[in-house]
Amino acid sequence: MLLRAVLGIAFLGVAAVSSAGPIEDQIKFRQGAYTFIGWNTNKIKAQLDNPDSFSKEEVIAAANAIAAAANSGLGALYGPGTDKGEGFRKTRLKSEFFEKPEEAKKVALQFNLEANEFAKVAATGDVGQIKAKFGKLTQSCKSCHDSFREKEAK
Amino acid sequence: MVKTIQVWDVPIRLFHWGLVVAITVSVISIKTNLIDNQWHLYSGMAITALLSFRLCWGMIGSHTAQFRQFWPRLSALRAMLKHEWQGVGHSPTAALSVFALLGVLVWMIATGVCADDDISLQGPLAHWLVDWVDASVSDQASAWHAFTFNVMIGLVSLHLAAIAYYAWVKRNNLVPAMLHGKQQVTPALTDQYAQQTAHDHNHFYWRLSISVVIAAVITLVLFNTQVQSWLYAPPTVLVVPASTQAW
Repeated sequence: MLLRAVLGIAFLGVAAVSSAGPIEDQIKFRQGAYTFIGWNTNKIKAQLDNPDSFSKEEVIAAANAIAAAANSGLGALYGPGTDKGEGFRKTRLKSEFFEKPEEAKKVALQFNLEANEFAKVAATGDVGQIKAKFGKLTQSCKSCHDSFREKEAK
Repeated sequence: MVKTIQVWDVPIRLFHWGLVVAITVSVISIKTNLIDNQWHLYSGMAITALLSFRLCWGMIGSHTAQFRQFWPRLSALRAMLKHEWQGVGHSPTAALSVFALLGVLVWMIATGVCADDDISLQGPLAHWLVDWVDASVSDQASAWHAFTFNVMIGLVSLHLAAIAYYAWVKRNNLVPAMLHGKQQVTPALTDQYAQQTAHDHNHFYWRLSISVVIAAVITLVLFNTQVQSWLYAPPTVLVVPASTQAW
């Protein structure tokens, strides 16, 4: 017990310097964040698909939730070695993520940009604009998936 | 002297050009931002309908549409390679291409209805799979769907290359026949063809109706979640009612 505690603290100490904890935790936080983002994009999509159910307040809440998650510093969850390992399930992050840091940074920042842009547009309640920006937002998800996410579980 | 005969019936031509349009919409909707990716579902529905119709028409359709008539046989392929094959409709090599394309498209639909891009596009069976079987099945289907796309593009390119080869090298443009359905053949072939197609008019509309109904049923069953969202409001389970949103 004591040994485990000591090791745990030592490990945390090392990890805290560079990232958000042990590899499994980083992956788990990551998966949690994107699942949460997915819930919110689904809510928006359901409302855009069926205009009768459109609620400005609800779209704003979802858009703000996505922006908050995007701005929470997700980059800290992509420490070295997190292309392998298990959070809630096995990670599908490709090793290319670490081999092409410039491209990785580009798609990551694109997502942040689109999430913030989307939150701004959501606040206006303009359905046409929301639809257009939602397309941009989901496209930023897709461009990262296309480059850095395995098509299926490793 | 050559004679002009009807080689492709109206349903076959509609199927062919419908498929061209639907596949084009499918590719544009998923690979570009020009149109909403919701169109990928609509075009998938259209392709399902067209394909199931074609599979029926291949069994009870007109002579040149029937699978058993152009089923690839080694003897016919050998004759084709020795430039000895003669006939009307799909040649033995064209038949291989037809079966390959139909097979790949059936596979694209089968994996597509199970696929999920984890962003904003779900095949009609994806939720069902995640809830009742396993999410990994849906992931696997998505991966196959994406991979088979390359195979499909390869086969379509081969198809177009063959058309170009026939037009430029063999001086035989095959495209007009797929537009107006007519082809010029030698008198000997005309007589043979007249015998083979003697029954094409029997119960034509009955066979057509049966094929259309079967195609419609398959499409509506496979895409029933989509259909329901048109008939009724889409499932709003994910959306929190305003009254409970306070916390």
